[in-house]
Amino acid sequence: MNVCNAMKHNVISATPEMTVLEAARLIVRHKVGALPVVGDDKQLVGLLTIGNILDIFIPNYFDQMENMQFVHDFGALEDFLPKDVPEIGSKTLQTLMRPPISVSEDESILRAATRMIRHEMVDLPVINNAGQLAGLVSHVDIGTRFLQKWMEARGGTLE
Amino acid sequence: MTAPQIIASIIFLVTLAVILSELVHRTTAALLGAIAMLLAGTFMHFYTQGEAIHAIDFNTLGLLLGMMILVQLMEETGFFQYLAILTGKRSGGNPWLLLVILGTTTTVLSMALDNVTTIILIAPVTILIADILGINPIPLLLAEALLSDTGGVATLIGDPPNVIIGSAANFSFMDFVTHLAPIVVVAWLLALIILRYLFRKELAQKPKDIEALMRLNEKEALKDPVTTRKLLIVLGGVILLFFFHSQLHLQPATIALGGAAVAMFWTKAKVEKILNRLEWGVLLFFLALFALVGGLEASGTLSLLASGIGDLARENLLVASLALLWVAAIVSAVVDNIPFTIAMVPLIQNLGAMGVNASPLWWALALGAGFGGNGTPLGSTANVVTVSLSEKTRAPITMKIWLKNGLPVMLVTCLVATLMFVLFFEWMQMP
Repeated sequence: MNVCNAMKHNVISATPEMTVLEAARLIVRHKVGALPVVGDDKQLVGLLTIGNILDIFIPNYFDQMENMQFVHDFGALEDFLPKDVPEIGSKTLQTLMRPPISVSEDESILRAATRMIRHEMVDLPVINNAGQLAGLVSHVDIGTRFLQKWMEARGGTLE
Repeated sequence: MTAPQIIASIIFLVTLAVILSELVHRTTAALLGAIAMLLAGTFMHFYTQGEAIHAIDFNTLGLLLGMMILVQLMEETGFFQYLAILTGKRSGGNPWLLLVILGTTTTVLSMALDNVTTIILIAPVTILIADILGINPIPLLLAEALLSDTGGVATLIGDPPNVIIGSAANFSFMDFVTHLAPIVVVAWLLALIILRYLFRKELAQKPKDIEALMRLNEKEALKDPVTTRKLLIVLGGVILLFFFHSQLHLQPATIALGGAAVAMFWTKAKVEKILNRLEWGVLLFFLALFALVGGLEASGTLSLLASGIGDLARENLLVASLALLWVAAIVSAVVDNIPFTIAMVPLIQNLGAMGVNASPLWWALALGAGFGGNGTPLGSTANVVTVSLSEKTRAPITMKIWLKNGLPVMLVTCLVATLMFVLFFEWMQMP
């Protein structure tokens, strides 16, 4: 099965000139985990994930602590916002986005799956032969396709 | 100067410059330098491969390795976080008390264990506690870094220069306690008073959420109480043996590696995993530096240098010692103090061979290299770690903030050391 049969076709995307704050607004409004960044003529130029933006807010020392189960009440940390958020919010996506790791719409979903595992991604942009953004495929999209095949092989329906 | 001396000096200085420039990883740079020294020595007949092996101080390496393994085993249990939370809660959320308590905890730990590891494990919990309380973490972090760095000077295993000096001068664990600990106690208390004064505004902050601090559950930080208890018993035994190692005719390295072996056996440690996490780069860096400086020594450069200052040192040992203390302090404030200490070892040994009483020079080197590290964020690896952990928090530690607090602490501790060195100079002349 090819990626184009599993992917979402209507994708919310951003442009490199957009600010981080505008991108964050898009993510919140549409409740998406990733925003493909497209340049002129819908060319895919990057990917911004919700994690990239959260990384700005989450201090380094959190990464150092493997175990934080002993914290039951985060106290003053609950309404924590770094002081320099306005400055970061006005930065453009160009400064923050990751290089576009993508898959072609005519490649198999297995190939998409291996690429996601290798780059530790949950959402993978899909491009057409011209390098334009064609869709977005998530690990849920791919996983459910496999389960569907399994159901079909049992000769029944999803019920 | 002879041709080998010139070549050896050039190789040494170039290697040092590359290490300090940080263009290449320091371990790679030191290893390349050591190999260059060895090749030059072999072809110019001033340094053999056998001599290079002899130049490597396996006592230092063994002690560092043994303690690294013990710390790594301890790290896995979550004991450091447990201790930081347990003691931090005793402050009742009072910022000044929190500074004293966490500063003391870090100091005590780093007197027995590696400074860097202690900071890596305690600092994140410290920032978390400050964030939960809604107070500025900077005074707490700087207190931990500066106080633990100061306290580490008191013991043979408290900081790496002491390990090197102890092995080279054949000073016992007790020698360090009797010569350096009294100075360190006074310097440490003064450092605490300075921090109290410099941070008077931050420490007057009202914590926003004391109850949240009290709701931290330290027991949940402790992953494995049984293993922790076993490791504490082994560590206690190791430290106890350190106190008597010279009477027992045991080298500190033997005790540390013995402790590591017993601990790995008793706790059924996942040995591969533990060993993978050790800082082999640090050990290799030491090893290469020893081999590098060994070449410099074999070429006769260091004895040439020693004879140059030998007369001064013999006639005015006090001035020579104090000069060494301050040079060591200034060097350690701006660059890594390990290469400096390792290069000073054969120089002081040469002076000793010329009839100069080397004991005060060794102590001066230990005090200077230790206290000097407080001056700037670059003074020690623990400082660098502290600064990087504070990044992206509400209050990152900048160069300016560090200098404003670290320099006064460095100056006062070095002044205390100078003063007490003069007062107890006779005692310093006894090994």
